[in-house]
Amino acid sequence: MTLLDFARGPAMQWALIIFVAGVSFRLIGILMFGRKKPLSPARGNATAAGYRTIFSRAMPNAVFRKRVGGKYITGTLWHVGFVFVLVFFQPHIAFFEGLLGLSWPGVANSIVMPVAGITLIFLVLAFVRRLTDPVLKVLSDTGDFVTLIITALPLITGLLASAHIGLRYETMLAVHLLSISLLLVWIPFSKLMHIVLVIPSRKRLGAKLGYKGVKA
Amino acid sequence: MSDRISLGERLKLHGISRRALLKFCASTASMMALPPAMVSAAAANLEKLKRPSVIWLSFQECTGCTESLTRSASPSIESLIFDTVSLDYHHTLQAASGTAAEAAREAAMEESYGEYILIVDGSIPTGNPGYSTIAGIDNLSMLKDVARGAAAIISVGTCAAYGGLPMADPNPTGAVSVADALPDRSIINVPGCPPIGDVITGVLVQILAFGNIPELDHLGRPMAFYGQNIHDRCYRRPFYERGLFAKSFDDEGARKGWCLYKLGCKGPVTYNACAVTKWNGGVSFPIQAGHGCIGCSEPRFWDKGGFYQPLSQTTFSDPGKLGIAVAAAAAAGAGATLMARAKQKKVREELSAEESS
Repeated sequence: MTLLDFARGPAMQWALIIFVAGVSFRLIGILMFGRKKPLSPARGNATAAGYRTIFSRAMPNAVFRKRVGGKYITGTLWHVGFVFVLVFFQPHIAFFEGLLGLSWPGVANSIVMPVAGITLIFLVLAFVRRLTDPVLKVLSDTGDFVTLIITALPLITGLLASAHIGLRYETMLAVHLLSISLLLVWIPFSKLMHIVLVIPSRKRLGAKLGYKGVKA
Repeated sequence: MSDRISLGERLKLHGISRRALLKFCASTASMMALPPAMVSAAAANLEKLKRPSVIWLSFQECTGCTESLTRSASPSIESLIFDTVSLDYHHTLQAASGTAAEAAREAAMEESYGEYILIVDGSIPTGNPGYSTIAGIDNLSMLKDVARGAAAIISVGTCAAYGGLPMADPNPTGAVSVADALPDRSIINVPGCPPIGDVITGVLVQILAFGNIPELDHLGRPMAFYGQNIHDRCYRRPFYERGLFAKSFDDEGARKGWCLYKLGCKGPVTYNACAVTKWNGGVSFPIQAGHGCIGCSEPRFWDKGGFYQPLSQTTFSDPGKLGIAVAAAAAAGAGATLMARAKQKKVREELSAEESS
């Protein structure tokens, strides 16, 4: 069995199993744990506040806009770029089609590749900021840096494979697929779980604060 | 049998000029990416060449490699080269049969011991010596016997080079490649199912003209022909870059010559000269004919998932396992949560009991 056979077969198989099992385990736990019903009467529309918060948290608070605006822009561009490359690169569409049976139009490599390169730059900026910012340094633990590296690996290896730089194509493709497997395994057990939890947690927080009449 | 007359003299007897030989050497050198200065050296060496003996052994194979070779040989000058190379033993091409054929092989081995070239197509069964025999001799014994006196050994076709189809899972005959059967010998692999005829002759000519083994890659393949992957040299590559893919063999994209990646083409991970040398005298190659590359010059190409499955797809094809994983994890998550809630309730009750007392 070659490295590519291993990456396309058993490695991806177990990564997907661990990913879906890990996400399911955590989601069921969170959903079933439940919350105590508030005893006080509602001072606002909790449901509306919940949905509003899903979007409002994507923008910096007006008070802090000058200080954190740049970080929001960097973070947003990184996320948009990552999702764009993930969703619109043609071989990725083929991957999802094989897994889900769904397909959609993609874009040319001449668009995807520069986007991937720029996206990687934003991730590197985030990494450097985490290393240099005194507050972030204190807040960050090893897991945060490991998460950043594991997130960057598919982008780096994907770019190298597409550009035929470094190892032979089949080896680089295998390394790329293995890096994706590593990312899939890491997601349920790290802060990357926010991929799944970001929307429900924002809604929950917004609803909780909205019920109390607090602007979230 | 090898004889005393040189190739140059034989060419003159056949009315072939030195210019024609130089043209042949130039085209062969070009295929092998050799520098132009090597052309005259190759021609000079070939002219002086006495008919070397070639013994071709066919084991677990389909004769496709021989078919490919004969397509290359006619009607070009390569046919003359093969007339001139003394092909002393070849099941399909030799006139002799039965005892006479085996006698020819034994005579060639004795006369040219240490000098003849051994070409093998087909894999060697090791599960049981009786699975494949020639004149009552099992394949492995014959290979070892003939290899002992060979100056060079060439594995032609994926079966000889890597085990090929006979070795495909579950490998019922215990098939192995020539390299696995002869671990102490260096083997030149010319894989493909079949290999391009011009590549077979090109490798042979290089060995004859320069008397050395060509530069090989990590799988024992001559770099001149197997140094680049098909995707890099494919005329459909621009469509890959533009994101234009055929989605079925008869759709608009297929008719326009768009990339066959999504139809399972293995060109990006296959190293061969198909997109450059092409087949049948440079007429076409499988991708040009509309079918994706199946990666036949790579080891175990038969066991690498579906031929029509894109490379970026996982070969894992059991969604049921994912469903079981989700169900099991959800049950475990629910169980863990219920236990946590029960513990929480117990702690709360204990606290309230303490407060009330």
